[in-house]
Amino acid sequence: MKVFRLLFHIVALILVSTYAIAQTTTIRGKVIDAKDKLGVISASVIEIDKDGRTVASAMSDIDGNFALKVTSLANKIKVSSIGYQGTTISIDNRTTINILLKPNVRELETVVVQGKRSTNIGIMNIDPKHNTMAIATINAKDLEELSAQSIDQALQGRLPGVDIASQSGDPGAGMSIRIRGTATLNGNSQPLIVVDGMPYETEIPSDFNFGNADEQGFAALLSIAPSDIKDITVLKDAASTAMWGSRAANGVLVINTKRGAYSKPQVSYAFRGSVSKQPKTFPLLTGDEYSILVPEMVRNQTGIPLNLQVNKEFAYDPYDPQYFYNYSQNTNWLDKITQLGYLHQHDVNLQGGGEKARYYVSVGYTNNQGTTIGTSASTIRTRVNLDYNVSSKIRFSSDFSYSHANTLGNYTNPRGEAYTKMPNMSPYLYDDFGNLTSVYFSPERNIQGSYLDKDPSYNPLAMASAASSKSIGERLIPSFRLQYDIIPGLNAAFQVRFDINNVKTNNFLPQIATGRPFTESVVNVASDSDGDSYNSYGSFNINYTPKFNSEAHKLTLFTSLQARKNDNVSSYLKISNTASSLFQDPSNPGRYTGAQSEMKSSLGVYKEIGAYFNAHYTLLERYDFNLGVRTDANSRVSPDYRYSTYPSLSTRWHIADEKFVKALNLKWVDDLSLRASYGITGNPPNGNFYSLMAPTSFVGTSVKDVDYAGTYMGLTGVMISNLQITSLRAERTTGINYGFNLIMFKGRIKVDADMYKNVTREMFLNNLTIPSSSGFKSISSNNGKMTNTGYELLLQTTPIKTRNWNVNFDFNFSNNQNVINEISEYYPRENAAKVTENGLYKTYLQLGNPFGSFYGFKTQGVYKNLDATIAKDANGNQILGPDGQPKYMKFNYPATNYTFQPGDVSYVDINNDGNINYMDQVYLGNGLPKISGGLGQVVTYKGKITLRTFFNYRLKYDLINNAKMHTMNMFTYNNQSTAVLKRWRNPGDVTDVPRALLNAGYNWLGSDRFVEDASFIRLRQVTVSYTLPKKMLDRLNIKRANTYITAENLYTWTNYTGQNPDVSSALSNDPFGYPEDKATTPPARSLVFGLTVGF
Amino acid sequence: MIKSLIYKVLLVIIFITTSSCNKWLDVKPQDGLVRQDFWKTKEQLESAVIGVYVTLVENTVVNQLFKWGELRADLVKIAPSPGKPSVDERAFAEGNILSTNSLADWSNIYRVINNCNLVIDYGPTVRDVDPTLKLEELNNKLAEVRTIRALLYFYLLRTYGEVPLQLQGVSEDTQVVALPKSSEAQIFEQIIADLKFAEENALTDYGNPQFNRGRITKYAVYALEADVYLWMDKYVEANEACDKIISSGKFILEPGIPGQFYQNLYETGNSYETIFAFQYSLERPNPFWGMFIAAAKPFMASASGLENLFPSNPNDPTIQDLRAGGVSYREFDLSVWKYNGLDFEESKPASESIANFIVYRYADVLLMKAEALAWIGGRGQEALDLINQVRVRASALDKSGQVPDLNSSSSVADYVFAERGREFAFEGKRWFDILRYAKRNNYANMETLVSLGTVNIPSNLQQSVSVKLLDKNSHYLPVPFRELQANKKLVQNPFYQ
Repeated sequence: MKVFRLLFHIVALILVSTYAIAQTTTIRGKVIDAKDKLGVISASVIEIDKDGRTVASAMSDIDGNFALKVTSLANKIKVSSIGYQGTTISIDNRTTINILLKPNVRELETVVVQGKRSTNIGIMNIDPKHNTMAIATINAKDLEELSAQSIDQALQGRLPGVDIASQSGDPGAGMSIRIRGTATLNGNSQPLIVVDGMPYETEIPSDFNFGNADEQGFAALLSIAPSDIKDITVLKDAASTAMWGSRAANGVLVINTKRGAYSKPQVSYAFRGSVSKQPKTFPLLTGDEYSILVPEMVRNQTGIPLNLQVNKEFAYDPYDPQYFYNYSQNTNWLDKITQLGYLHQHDVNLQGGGEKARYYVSVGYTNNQGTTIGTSASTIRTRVNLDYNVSSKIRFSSDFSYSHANTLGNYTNPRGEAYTKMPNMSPYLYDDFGNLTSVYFSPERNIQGSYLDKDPSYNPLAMASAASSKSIGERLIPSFRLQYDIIPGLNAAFQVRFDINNVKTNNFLPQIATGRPFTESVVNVASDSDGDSYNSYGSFNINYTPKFNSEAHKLTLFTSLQARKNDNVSSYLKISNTASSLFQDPSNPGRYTGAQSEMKSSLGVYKEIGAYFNAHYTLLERYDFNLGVRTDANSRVSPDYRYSTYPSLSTRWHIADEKFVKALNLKWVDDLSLRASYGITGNPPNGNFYSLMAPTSFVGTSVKDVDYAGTYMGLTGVMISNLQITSLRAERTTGINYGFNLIMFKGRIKVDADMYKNVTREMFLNNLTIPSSSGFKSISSNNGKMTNTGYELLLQTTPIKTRNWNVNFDFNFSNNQNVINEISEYYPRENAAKVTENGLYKTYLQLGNPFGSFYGFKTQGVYKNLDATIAKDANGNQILGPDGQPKYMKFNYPATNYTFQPGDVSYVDINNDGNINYMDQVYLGNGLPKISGGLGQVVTYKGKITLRTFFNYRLKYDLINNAKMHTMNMFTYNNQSTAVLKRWRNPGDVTDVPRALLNAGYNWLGSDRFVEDASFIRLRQVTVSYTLPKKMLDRLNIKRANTYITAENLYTWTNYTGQNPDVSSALSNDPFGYPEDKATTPPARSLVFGLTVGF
Repeated sequence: MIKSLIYKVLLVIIFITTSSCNKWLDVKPQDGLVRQDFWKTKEQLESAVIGVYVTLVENTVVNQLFKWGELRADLVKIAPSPGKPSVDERAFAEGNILSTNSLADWSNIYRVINNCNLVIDYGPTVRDVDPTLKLEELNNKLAEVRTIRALLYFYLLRTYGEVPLQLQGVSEDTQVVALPKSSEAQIFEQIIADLKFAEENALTDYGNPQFNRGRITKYAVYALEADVYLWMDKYVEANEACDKIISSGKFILEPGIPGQFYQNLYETGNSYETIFAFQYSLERPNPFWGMFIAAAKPFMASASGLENLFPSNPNDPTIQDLRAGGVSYREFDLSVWKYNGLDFEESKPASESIANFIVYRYADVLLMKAEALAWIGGRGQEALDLINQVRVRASALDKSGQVPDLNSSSSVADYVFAERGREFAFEGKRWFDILRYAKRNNYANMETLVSLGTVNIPSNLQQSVSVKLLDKNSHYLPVPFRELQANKKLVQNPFYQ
């Protein structure tokens, strides 16, 4: 990159010239306190040149005397000391100078940086009053009192238009963030995150996570300590995101970290501790109840009783002590693998600085134990932000952050197994005399199957405790920035950042967790994956604010050049049958054959460059216009489409400042303005598609991929791996946004409303069907059109503001609708669910209809007896066959041709033809919330006691309760919920729970039985905080102290019967996806105690 | 003046940066090769040819070739519980094949064909860059891949009747074309054209006994030729092709010594009898363990099918045809034993399931010749001698012997058909043998097909499957559903419309 090289030279020149050596003369003198006329100790005496650049410096001694070697007697000297007002005087060829310093009238406590209030939106600062774009900012102070480890958890529900959903409540588990819905079907849909002016990599290369830790990955990436964050701004409309061009179609999250200010060193320490408890789950059958259900289930299916000779688990035979003791328990498996979670977090930061240099240094440690046994996370984070004013024209800053995260997870999620594990089994082994031992009871195989099965069966407690997935992540981000004020109003900034991110994950599955013999290749499986990613960014910005004679015109010009390179390397090694369960690393010898062993590695490169130009013009303080153009080039797209341009245009009209409004004399209106914006953003194909743009990739095969594994007769071969896509390009999203700002009663009511429409064209689709006679089944292509429309509102009010009381009330809501308007005819139109498959719902891709609808059968209870299964026509009359006999209800005639039996679920025969088939499937619900958002209030009494509450909500959406479905289906040997106690058993039973039927029947087809309205409002946070009075603090020699208690997730108002209604398909970009509650670890109820002390 | 200077400098800067950026942005994969960097040396050509074999022996491909040849016939049936056949496997074996059935998906086969096509397209260009590649060497390699392409089209021909004939290598999206189905005659013509080229140019000896059986030799070409001609009822040509193999003197029947026969021919493999076999290794085991030995095995040998072929010896049940228990199947549980047995009783462990999948062996050539002679007419005795040669080696029981009318073509052919069943049980040939036998002379033996095709069908479905099989279009698989969607030029087999 020649641009880079050039810039480096410029920077080097500037730096070298700063420290050029010249001839010296010594000046002596004394620094004296102007009041008491005593010498000032340790005052700094600095020679500065005409640009305010430091040339030489010295310190005064104990008597205030100093000696300074200066290079030029034409320069000035500057004297400063904490507690005094600094002064600058000319040398004027003197060699002896005594200086009087005036003490400060008031001691500086906190420094308030004066000047225009501005919001940093990444690479530019903007004045909120003249902001033409749809953005929302949240101050990190509002998030300080949560137990959230990462900022994304804390942001949930705070900002309108930003949808954040948790994937699981386990420590280190990631969140999905969507800004204004999903603008892509197959591309990356996470927003771009910009930290301190530079993109922050959150995308995990597709082959980075070979193990099962993909969810954890994202959280580890957002490894910024919440206490280091100053503010977070969300850029939502295309006008604001267009400055990030081809990476911004999913919105941008701008995070600014804290920096040092001019002050004495200030130390502050913050402590947070919390205890979390998992909410109660729905009740499951006890061992005794389960042992009644299973034989009944078998008998219903086969007609003969369960063979107790073979299935001794149900014999309860005291003469067979091994089975008797180990299978006559009443185990609550969920309780067994659940523990009390806790978290403690310590953050120390030091900040301060003088006129020349400022610093912010922080160190933090977090330790978190999850609520599932075997999960924990500990993180150390440190950050150093330094600013140095080389001269009044040159400023230099250097940031450095490092984090080390140690996450311990489960090998596989044992919760799913714990829900379904047979409760009559013992978690620990009983010996033949009925004594409980400390060995996990892991049978090789029992009625539920074995670990070898497709759906492996194992002892969840042994799995949670003995098997492990350990991940260690290191992330190091050094960054350097140089700003040069060329002339007043024109400045240039050059910035480079390196981002080194290494993650190593070690998984181990010991024999005891599977129960299989130690000779089998499924046990003692050790794997190790290592991913290293190295990012480098560079940018060069020029900002020009010309001065006009007239106040009526204001213009800001901004231009930026950016480049980025990403290299990543990963490797994976998996070996089975290490000699002992103590050999947990693949470096130990084991077997390298069969499906349990694998070796693979990958290498990737990704490069992009961009140029951005922005002009902001304000006319008469009332009319704002903003124009931006960005051009991007990206190595992931085909060469012919490499450069793409993203323009944007936005405007704001301050109506309240118009004469005709002022004439109305509406004193209570502070600001009323309208905004409109238009812009285009892009989204390049995700993943390392470099091979797509490269002309045909023949990928060599040593042992890279299982499908291609091996050689032929000892010879290695080369074959085509993918098609060259000659016209691959970035998706383009055109956004239109209309906004409205109203500020009334001196800022006590603020309304910020936006309405938008984003149209994504040339969508990137990676699975268009092509004739497979070409050798390939599908192709990637740019095709189709999708529209996101929505609105959002943010209301911030201060209803009460007296001397003692201050009450704030905030409220936000948003709505988003996602529609596909056009798509290739070769794109699939429905999901693969077959009508005869239990447990699946049908979804369709319908052009012009919103996403998220799912279809299935309606139910009307259970056939209570044989007569009830007689088919009836529309008038309720029995349908008779040609022989005059009544016809019985059939399922999927003629293909399946199952006759419904008493005790089966009665599906509604919509077309009254006596046959339940695909024609009886109807609309059952939609998984996209109509409205989601949050509300909160803050009550402050005398500025000391604060009560803060925050709710988040999603309204009007349907959720499929997958956990309920699988604990009520009575289809396998899985344990069931107590709801099945009222199952149909004998003809005549009237109930809505069908009969138990092992591996047969159609009792849990996708139907309304498992669809629930999952609208909820959750009390996410209640905080009481107390600021200690100054009197008390002075005695303790502490500057400030604040303590708080927060209760999280105290209560959820919902009609939903599952554990966690906060599962939304809005966050999935699968057009066939529907929301399912699979009973992952729900967000725990926690109690947080915190303390912040400043010295 | 100054303005224009600035303008010029700016232009130069823009030019330099954009041109260097373009180069900077050209990123090539570091863990793969691109076409431009490939096809440069004869070593690369060789590795591309090996690549064809690697994809050919891939489990998805062999799985399908084997199941196409066995599941609809009489010798393989669905294993009872706790076996776990997939929904598609069950439907396929029970005569309820839909166009959505994954076993009717031909994409795996075309993937190998595309690799062949690419070698055929780009192989000759290597000579422009690498002068050390002799024309002869190039033609040797082209002969190999053209034979593999012919073999796969022959499988497709027998399985679908008509398929699109893709002869152009596809390596970029612009080359993807929707082809209509070619007729049986066109496909046959293409196969023969490929084989004629291969016949001229294939090697006879790679200088390594394993390569001589694991790669295409001239003899493999002749064997395939004979098979193709027989399918098209061209008996003289089939006979000629067989003769070329027999007269080479390079192949013999593996002696029928119990134990050793199984060991050499199937377990270790690559005996003097083998002409061409897919080679497996510890790195790449074959798919048969999962199919026949695993606890969740979907399939097993069918007792009723075997009963017809290997009638038990009424005098002494312990005296058996060499090819029966312990070779073709395991006696006590009717597990399919070819590929899987270590010896009589013990099966190989999953990781060592590396027996080769034999495509052609000498016995096949002898019986193909016998079949050709039967229909050429007047050479019945010669045909009978060939049959007996195979039977004697296998110590066939008298009870399974026939006394054909040597003047009746069909009578001799019946005997060949029966003997092929015994000789090639579970070698992925049964259904094709049945179909070839049945369709000859305008479906003269339709009843045989119907009766053998319904041996393993559950009784409640037998009636409907019999009716289906009477429609000759049902003998060919449907065009896969997704292909019909992706390619509007394809027409579904009328039986499945």
